[in-house]
Amino acid sequence: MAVTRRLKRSVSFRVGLVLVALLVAFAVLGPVVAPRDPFTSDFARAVSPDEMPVGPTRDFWLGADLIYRDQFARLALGARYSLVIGVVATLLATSLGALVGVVAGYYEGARGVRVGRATVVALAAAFVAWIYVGNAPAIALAAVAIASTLPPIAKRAERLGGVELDADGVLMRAVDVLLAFPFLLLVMAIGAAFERTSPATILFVLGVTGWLGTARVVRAKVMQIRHLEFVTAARSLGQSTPRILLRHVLPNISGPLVVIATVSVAQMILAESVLSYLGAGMEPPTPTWGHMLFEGQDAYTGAPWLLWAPAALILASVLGFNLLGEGLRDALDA
Amino acid sequence: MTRFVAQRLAWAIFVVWATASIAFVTSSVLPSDPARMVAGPQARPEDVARIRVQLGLDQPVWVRYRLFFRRLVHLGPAAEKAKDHETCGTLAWVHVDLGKSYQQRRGVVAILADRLPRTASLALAAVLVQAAIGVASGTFAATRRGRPADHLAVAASLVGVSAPTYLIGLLLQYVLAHRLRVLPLDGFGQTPLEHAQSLVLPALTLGIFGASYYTRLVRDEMITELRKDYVRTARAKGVSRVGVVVRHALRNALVPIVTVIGLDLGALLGGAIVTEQVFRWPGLGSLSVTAVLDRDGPVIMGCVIVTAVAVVTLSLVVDLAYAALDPRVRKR
Repeated sequence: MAVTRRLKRSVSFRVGLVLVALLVAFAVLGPVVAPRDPFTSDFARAVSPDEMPVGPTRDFWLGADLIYRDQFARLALGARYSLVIGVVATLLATSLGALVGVVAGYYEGARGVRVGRATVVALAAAFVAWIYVGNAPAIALAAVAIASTLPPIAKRAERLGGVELDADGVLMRAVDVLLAFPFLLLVMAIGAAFERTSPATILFVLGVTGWLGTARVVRAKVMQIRHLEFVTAARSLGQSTPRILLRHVLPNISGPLVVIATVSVAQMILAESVLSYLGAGMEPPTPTWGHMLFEGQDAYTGAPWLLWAPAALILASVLGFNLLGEGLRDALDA
Repeated sequence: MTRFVAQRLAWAIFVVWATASIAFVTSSVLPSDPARMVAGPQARPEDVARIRVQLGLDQPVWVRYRLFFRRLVHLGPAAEKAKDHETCGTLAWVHVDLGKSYQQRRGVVAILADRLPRTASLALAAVLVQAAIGVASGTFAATRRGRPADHLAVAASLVGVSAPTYLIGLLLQYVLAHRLRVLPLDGFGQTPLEHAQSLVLPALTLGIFGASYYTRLVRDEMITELRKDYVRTARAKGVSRVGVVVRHALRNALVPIVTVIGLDLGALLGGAIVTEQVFRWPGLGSLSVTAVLDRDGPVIMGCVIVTAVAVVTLSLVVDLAYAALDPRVRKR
């Protein structure tokens, strides 16, 4: 029970837990206790004498927004979206990252399919020929590439060296390629093409983009433990590889995985707020913190609560999950 | 070493090709109609169809894909702006052509060439700020480990990591531009002095965000280094406390930091989309946002390729620097 004791002692864990608990309470209870509808403008009571939205009052706990809707109700509903998107996107990204990381780490160093250099060069030449010349030379070069994999020729060409295509290499190189890809542009392009961005699009994009770091960390951890005695023992007892990965390897990386997932919720909430701030998030009138902040930034002289309320909520929730992850990391020694 | 360089170079080209291909295929399967955007919402169907033919959008995907790569790098006359090559960027006989922007009716290469220096100056300034703040505060925290100053630095860096860049940006904008009026609110300005003044806020914004990561990184590295035997030896032979920290420990701790700086610079060269948007900085980031909203395919492809080239080049440079310093890397 050393972990529980260390968690109780950790200041970051306690502060983080309080912040996250407050956020969850706000998301669950806020829309229920809010006296007003988040989508309805109240032109009678939300308009101040100088035609501005009213500030925080007994009626409007956190003031009214620029079209006289109750900001408390909108922020509370926004909290639900932020939390659900943060958690579900984390589940998607962390599972994908763990899957790729475990497979890559377990098979690191294993023999793969060897593709001779002659084949690689012929394939590249076929592509270049297709681009610049035409179909006929491209087909001819592709035929050369296929021929070079035939055993007698491949044997002769072996001294030229080549590329080893193993599970680990292919997966990690794919991570490298995706890291060079500007994903924010991809999301915005998808959103622009469908004229609207649904929660499913955002989850898909965050899930597809968020697993790269997880895969790298998990792979490193798996490489550390795969040679330990219990893994060797399980294998010599005849357990299948998927079973070993699921029953022996995965439980032993659960500590780091929990830490990664906690910090990832913070990053996902941050990413969602950036998307909606840029206008690539969920469509209005759906209340999202990022978009509310975007609308509030031009009104901060007349109605500063429109800026500080969403800003404080974003900061507090991201900080809360980050602190929680920090405390868990120290306690689990992950 | 030559072999190592050749392998890494081939890989770099492959990554750029793969990224460009993914982006091209993605943007052509998306159900958006650039012709409709160019023609405007009120246009007659036959005009939209005519524009679609003009832009070559009536062709199948594979034909456009082939044309795109054939144009991207090709040979042509060495003279500047020869006929049929007015949208090309030329380097002797080697031409780079990304086509014409649907919206701006200019060559994409020329548009990117306008924007790149601005994004590059922002990226450099931001990396300088984050390295300076991060190394100073990380070293400071590590030498005072467990004391209030250390806790303060760690807490501050955690808040910095948790704040989105637009939040930091708006805060700086409010304090330095709106209240104190010492810096311009946003934009780019007209004269070189105004450019420099406009650069300060976005660079600080990106720098403060990045410095939070660096503080933690430098602190962890420094704590490891300060525990090592050579530090005790140096102290024993009479080197001052500051001398040990700066000349011995920090020098060793900086090696991994330099890697991260290189990779960060590569990422920032693709354009800091959010920060450029907050400060209306006319770089690649804000260009790509406009391009996406306008369905300006050629410009989007240009931005994707510049980003990929920047990331790949800087990671290549970092790898080669490592290989030059450490012979063990080359053998792998």
